[in-house]
Amino acid sequence: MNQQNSIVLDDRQLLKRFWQAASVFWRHQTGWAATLAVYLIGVALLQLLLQVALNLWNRHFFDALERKDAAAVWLQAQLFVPLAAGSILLAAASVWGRMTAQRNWREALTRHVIEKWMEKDRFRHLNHLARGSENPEYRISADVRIATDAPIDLSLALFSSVVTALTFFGVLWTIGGAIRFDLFGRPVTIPGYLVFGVIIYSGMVSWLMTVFGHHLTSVIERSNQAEAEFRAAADTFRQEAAPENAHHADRRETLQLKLQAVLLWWRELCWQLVRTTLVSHGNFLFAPVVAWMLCAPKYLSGAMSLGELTQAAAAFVVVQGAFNWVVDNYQRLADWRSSAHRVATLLLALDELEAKERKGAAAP
Amino acid sequence: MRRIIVATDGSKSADRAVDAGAALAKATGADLVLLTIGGSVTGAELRNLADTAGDLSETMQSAANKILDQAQKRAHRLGVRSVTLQTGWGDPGDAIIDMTKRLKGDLVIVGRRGQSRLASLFLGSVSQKLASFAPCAVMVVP
Repeated sequence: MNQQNSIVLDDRQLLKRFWQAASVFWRHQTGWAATLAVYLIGVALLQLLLQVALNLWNRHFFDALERKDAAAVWLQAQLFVPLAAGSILLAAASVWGRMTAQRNWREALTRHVIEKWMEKDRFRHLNHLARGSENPEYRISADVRIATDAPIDLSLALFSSVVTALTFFGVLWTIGGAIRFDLFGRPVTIPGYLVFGVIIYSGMVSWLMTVFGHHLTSVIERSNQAEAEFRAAADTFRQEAAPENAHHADRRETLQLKLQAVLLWWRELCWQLVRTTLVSHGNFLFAPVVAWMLCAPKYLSGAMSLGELTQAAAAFVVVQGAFNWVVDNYQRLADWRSSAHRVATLLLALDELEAKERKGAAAP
Repeated sequence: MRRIIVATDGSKSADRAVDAGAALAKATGADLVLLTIGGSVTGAELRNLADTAGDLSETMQSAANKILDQAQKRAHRLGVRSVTLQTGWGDPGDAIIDMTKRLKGDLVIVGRRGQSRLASLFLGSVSQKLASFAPCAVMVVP
């Protein structure tokens, strides 16, 4: 068996190895890590609170416009300033919190990997010994960064999406209320019809995205892998650059082959993004219109004010956006997975070397 | 004439180019280099590879090797024993020109029509590109 393939690359095993190393920060700096986590959750909840306040502001502003009440419009305009200021400050506070957590986490993981890599001069013995040894410098710098950046952004976005969806379900339920209509001569009442509307619409968008972007995550992963292999081939070519080297022509051909693989995956990624853009841009255009259309019967019958209509439509778009968490983060999820895999492969290669060192030391 | 390079993509037209190259190499005693430019993979094949964890580089390499293997057998049948096999990647016209320069070929032989007829309609054929930019004589086999 080729030594380079001596590590069996199992998906679960790789993720387990990554988390084992990546959790160093959360296990060793418990106090600071917990403070950051509480801070980020707190900011996310305050942002949600402001989002609800802005949603209410929307209603009061348009109601005032409908009544042609100049004093109320002016009052709402004044109220908007502290709301906007709060929102801006919270956005800035969130960036600081996220980037601080990411920096600390990256530092802890990078130091951990570098320590393992440098110990007993393993970086000298690593080359060509086991799969995962290619281009370790890039794995330590770029892949560790991506692998620690994305989980914080993604988990915060997921948390925000869940609490936002739950909160605005309430808004949709109360503002939208029930709708009554006749079906085959029998009166039908659907309570909280906007909630059902947003669930059905979001389900359709997610289903369409799954159909259109079925291969997107795997193509992104393969594209990232091809880029990494191309870098590794270029690195090997540089290290063995002398034309008199017997492998020079082979290395040149390998470099060209890896470039071709990069370009082909890039072409496929382009087509995948073209397909998913059809859905995402369509959704961007349709979501608010669908919300208005769903509210229109109640508005036209006088059961809903203009302010309530805009509030409900805005809440519909917010909930629908929250539902799209997976869809919106397809690319980042795939990027994170590839980087986490590459960091894990390097760690497993280092583990293998470490095991060999222990075996060597134990041998008489 | 010391080195003849035959570019093949496995098409019937390329097979005729291999036959012509082998006959010329046999008659002149020149070295025969069989060259293929790999890397034409369809979107469906890529998606299949992405879903099945297949290796694209290996797939392209093995497709290129298959084409070269068939061409080599053809040359052997025509009595040429010593054949050098080469693979290039990327745009066929550019890659053939680049390889011809590196291998210092005296003659490049190609088929008139390769497998990508549609692409050649829009981009111009490989043989046209070679006729304009190759650093040596070019023979186009109908």
